[in-house]
Amino acid sequence: MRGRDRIIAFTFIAPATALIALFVLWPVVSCFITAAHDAPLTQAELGDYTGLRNVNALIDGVSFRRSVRNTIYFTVLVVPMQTILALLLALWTYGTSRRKRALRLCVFLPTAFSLTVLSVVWKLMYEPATATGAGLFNGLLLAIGLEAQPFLTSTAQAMPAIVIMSVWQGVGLQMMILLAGLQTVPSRLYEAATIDGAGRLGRFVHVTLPGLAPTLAFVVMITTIFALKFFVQPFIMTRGGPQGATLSIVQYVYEAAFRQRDLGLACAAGVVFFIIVSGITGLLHGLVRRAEALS
Amino acid sequence: MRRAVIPVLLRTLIAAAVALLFIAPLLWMLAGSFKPDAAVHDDVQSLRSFVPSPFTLENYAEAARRTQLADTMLNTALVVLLVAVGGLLVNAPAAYAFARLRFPGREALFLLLVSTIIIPIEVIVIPLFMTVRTTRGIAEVVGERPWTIAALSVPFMAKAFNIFLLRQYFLTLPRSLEEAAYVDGAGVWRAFWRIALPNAAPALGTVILLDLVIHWNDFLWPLVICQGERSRTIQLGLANFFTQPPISWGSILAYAVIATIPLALAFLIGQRWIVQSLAGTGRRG
Repeated sequence: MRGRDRIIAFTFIAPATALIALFVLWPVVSCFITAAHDAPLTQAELGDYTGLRNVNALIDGVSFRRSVRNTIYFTVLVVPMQTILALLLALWTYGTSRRKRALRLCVFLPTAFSLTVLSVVWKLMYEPATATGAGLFNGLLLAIGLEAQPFLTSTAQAMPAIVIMSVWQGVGLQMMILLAGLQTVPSRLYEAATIDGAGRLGRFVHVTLPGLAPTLAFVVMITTIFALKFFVQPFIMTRGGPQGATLSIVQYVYEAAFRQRDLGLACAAGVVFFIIVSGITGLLHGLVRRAEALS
Repeated sequence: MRRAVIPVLLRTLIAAAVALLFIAPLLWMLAGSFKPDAAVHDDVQSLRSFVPSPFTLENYAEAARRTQLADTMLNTALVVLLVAVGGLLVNAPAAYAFARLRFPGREALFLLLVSTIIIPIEVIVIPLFMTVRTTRGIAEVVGERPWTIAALSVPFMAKAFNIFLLRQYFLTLPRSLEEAAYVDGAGVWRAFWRIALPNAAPALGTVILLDLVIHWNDFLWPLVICQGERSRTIQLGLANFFTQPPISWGSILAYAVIATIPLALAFLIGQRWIVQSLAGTGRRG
């Protein structure tokens, strides 16, 4: 009887386990192996063992370092902007009035669209002003008598432009998570604070913020991971340009494999990326734990 | 009582302005898709940008004429359907086993699987491509499109996150339901298939909806896998049409709207279904 139960349990878990082993765990292992080999795209089998040569080539190369710098720049801009904006919107729209519900829906709406669709639309909105026409933003700037801006075509403005679009797209989801978090803050704490003479700011600092800390830490964690993986926006809007100003790590990996046709180099970049992502995830997970202990 | 009419009006106005900031690009996309190309360009300096006038459906016709829209749509629909159905078939039993059945190594295996949640596709896209590429020979037998659809769906059926989510839900179900079935002589399969699974409908709905959204919107993996225009997914089709001269903003926006509608529908229908099934379990409980 027990033997039969084990066989049944095995048939329940075997398909999922086998698929995850083949399509997630094995690729992680194979990424490390490939990174240490010569592996042209056109060749089905791995070439010679090259040790750290791919990793060294990566670190010596200008464009990989630039892609790391760009990815960090993007993350450092997006995470605080998006989290603070999401927090403000959540505090503002917390409640059941019709005005608040409508506003919440509007802020959340862009999350229901694909990044590809929104990148295409925003690229058209960011179009520079030329003799033949302008994008929506430059149209508005010209209409109110301001100077037209290059936006995505300028090395200085391209990344901030992509950051603004990304915050606009992603803030709704963060807001929703924070709203769910706000519901877990016990209302009796607010009453107690009010009796103790706390004002609005006092209630926010002493009740809302500590109560919301675990949710806030969680939001920071997932926003950071999302930001580190950014790819679609610059790939569609700028192809990583101008002059590599918006080249992300993921696009570097993609181009190493399919433009330079070097899978070894691409996997080496993948390994470095894996280490960056899991390192930061680990750090932030610690933050989430501490925030949970706090409340 | 202390709140006068003017602050309320002011608040409403500020709320409306913020709401507009978030939906204006979406309105512009929708309005532009129904206007002649020249009007899209001419209106950028005025609020007419957001009004679909003069109205035309020509952009939609052009998008359909210049791309393999029907094929692309069918490919994407098949991929999301396969991921959702296949995912259910492999993830739900695994989640149930982790929640209810006893077998050696259960905790360790569960931890191992759950730890893969933090590995994003972006990190393993190239080695995964190398793994999937070993099956290229099959494409010569079954054809490019069927192979592509399988390559886009099969690797994403089993998902540790979905197993985790379903397991959490199975754990909240009262054991007494299944125990009653066992008393009636049912086996593990029957208890799972007839009792636990139907009762987990809200969690299953959530998982299906997540799969639909993720894979309808997926871009990187199709970019790596799809070869040839007829094998593309809808997002890839849009990205490609976007750079294909002659550039027509109106028809690009029309394509973008088409790429959004099925997802929006799934979202609306799915959400209602989830709320209903949640209400249903509430009544039973």
